[in-house]
Amino acid sequence: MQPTPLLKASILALVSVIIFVACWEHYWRSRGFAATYNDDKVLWAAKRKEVYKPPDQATVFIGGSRIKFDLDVPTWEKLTGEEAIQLAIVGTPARLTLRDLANDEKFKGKLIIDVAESQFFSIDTVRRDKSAREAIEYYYKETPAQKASASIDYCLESHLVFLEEGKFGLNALLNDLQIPNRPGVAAPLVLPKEFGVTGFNRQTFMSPMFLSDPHLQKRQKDVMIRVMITVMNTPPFLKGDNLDALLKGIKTSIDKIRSRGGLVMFVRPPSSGDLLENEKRVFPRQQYWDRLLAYTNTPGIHFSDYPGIANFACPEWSHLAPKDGAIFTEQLVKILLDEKGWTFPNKTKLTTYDLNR
Amino acid sequence: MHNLPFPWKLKKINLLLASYIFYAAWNPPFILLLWLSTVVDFFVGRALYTQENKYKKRLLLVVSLIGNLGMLCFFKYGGFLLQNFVALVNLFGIDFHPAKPGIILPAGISFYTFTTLCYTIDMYKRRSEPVRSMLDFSLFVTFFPHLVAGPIVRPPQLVPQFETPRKASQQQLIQGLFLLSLGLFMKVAVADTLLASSADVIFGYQKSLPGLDAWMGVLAFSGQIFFDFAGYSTCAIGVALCLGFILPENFRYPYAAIGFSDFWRRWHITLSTWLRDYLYIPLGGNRKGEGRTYVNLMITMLLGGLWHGASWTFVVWGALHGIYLCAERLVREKFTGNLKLAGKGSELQKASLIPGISANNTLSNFLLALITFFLINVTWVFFRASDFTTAWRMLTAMFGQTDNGNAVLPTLDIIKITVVIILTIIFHWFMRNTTVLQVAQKTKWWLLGGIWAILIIAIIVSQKTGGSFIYFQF
Repeated sequence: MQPTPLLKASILALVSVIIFVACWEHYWRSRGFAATYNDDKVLWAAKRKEVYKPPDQATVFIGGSRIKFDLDVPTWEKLTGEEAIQLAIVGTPARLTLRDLANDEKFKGKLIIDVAESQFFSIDTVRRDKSAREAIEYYYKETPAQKASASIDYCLESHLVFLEEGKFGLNALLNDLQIPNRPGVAAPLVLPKEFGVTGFNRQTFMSPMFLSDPHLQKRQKDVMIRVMITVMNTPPFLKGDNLDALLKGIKTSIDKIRSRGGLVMFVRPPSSGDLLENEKRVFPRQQYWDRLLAYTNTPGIHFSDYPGIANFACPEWSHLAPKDGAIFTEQLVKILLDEKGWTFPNKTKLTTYDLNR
Repeated sequence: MHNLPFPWKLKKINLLLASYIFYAAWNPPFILLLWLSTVVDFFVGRALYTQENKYKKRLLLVVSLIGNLGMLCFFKYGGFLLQNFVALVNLFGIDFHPAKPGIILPAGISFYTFTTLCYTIDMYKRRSEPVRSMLDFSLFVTFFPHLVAGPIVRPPQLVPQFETPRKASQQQLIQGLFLLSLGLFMKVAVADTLLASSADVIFGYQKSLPGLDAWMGVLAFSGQIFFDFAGYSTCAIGVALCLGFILPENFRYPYAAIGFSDFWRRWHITLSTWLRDYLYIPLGGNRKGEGRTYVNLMITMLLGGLWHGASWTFVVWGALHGIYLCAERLVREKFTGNLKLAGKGSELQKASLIPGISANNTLSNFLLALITFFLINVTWVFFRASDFTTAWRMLTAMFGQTDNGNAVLPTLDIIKITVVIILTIIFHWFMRNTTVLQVAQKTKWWLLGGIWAILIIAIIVSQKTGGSFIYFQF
């Protein structure tokens, strides 16, 4: 039987697509990229489900990108014998996630809140909180079809490099063109694709390619400079009544968690270079960090107060390199145990790690 | 399983179970509503057909209407009705602030309600025979390709296809797969990846906008709504074809429409014909005089607007379309009257709506299509805007009534929207009198294969940007 033109067309299409996928995957692999996960609301929702674990089995982390880079999950889990549930979202303050956890009566666990002042005290709630709002909404409305789809996605993403939408999706590729914009338009930030890699535990870390290439680090610093300029030129940050309202909301949320037996701790992760200098200038510690702790009556760990974590040099000023992340995590556990009265009852059972080495 | 050598009844049960699983994949409890609607309408439909007593027959129809429309009203319009009731009593100084009802809208309720409603009305009017088997009726209501977002099928279009064994031929299977690829390309690559974020940004922007950004936002939504909904319909028709079933056409290149009645013959065809046959004509259509025709047109379009969503912005969207249709009819009536006076073959008869351009001129038709497209875009503002403040902000920006707007859209987004919209209009114009399958049939196999590959590659490269289909919420 002669194949019909339609059949021939379908075979040609199928063969072309298979060849394209193979070449596309090979191309990205040959450039040094490895398969990883989409750090999106789907993965966030999968972790959000885990917050109900007993307090002696898990600690929840919320905030922005700093805690995602700086907390080394394997180190944390090895040292504490507990799971680290990473709920921080890149570019997003902890405000909405905190409120969500506070309003969830079933959450009674330990919570660490990352405070990066430019995000945490930003007045631009619509844009800043967008990712958190979408993730929380997705979590509560996730359908059985979406859950099944997520399982398939995880399986594919863990094997195929090009399935990382944020780097290799059509929009990401078009953004790489970096077409000039009209004055005043806030163009999307184009980070080097080599910068961050996210694992299934939602920890993000800098890739070896990024760490070994000063040009990439320079590009990332340029992005940070753009962010700084935008941030500094986009007043106002929360001040006066607006700041009071934020603090009141944060306190209400924290009180709810504590009333159920939960533990809450603020953490200000390290930053360095010009970025740190600007942060110090725009967000004087007394007016923001100290006031946050005092108003909410909540303990906190500011990196500059502890010699062991005070002097990291962040490759792009804002986030720690993986090896420093492990040291930061180790020191964080030590501070929590020695100075903040936190306990990790499972650590002796699960680890032989020497905290005092 | 559909292609395995099982008895036809078993294959239909398999299709029905698959359809229920498909529906339950969104929100399992709402499957009960689907069952209720199916069972009630199956028995009421049969009783309506056989009942000779006029009053009992009417009573049965009322039961069916209350059942179907009551369910739709509660789930879709419950919150909206309560909100308007509260606003009304507050207006009279009564302090009434009830808790928000928090009703969840079952996916596709507007679609399957219209599907079952047309069955009972057909039975009442004895337009067709009642469906003999509960299995066939359940499958007619629940058949998964059309269940959640249409095309809205009529019993004679689908039920006979369940009565005899069906299996897709090789040609149908490949055509179905091609339509499925095309539909996914429209949804994932064009609607979600290239257009959705720009429309969201512009319609979500709380400050004044320059005209360029406002127009780009509206054009982005104009493209998004078409590629999203027509993409779903194309997928649905393609999937059904893969199983050997033929669903009715739902879109016919609407952005090449010349005038608004032409637009509604091309946009969401199964809804517009439903509204024509079950609302406009029963209201009297154009049989009760000029004035009544315009009233009937307005009622049909207002309710058509409300069908899309429980908000006054949708009513205004419908009203605008009603006004357009009335105005077009008015112009046509006047024009036809003048033609009759002038006589057959006269110069006036050869003239068009645009002075100086012949009625048969392609250019004049294209210009009329562009004017239609322009006016359709104005209506999309009300369809997409979450409230009248947003709609007004958009309209004032679009028509240059704002002084200083903030530029918002990156140049890349403007390029994406411009390219997509220009290509869409050109494509619609050249395809307006044909179908994609007819064109595919005539295309060289290597060219078709290449285009098909590009569609799939674009879906793969776009990745999972896609959200839900917009019409699922209706």
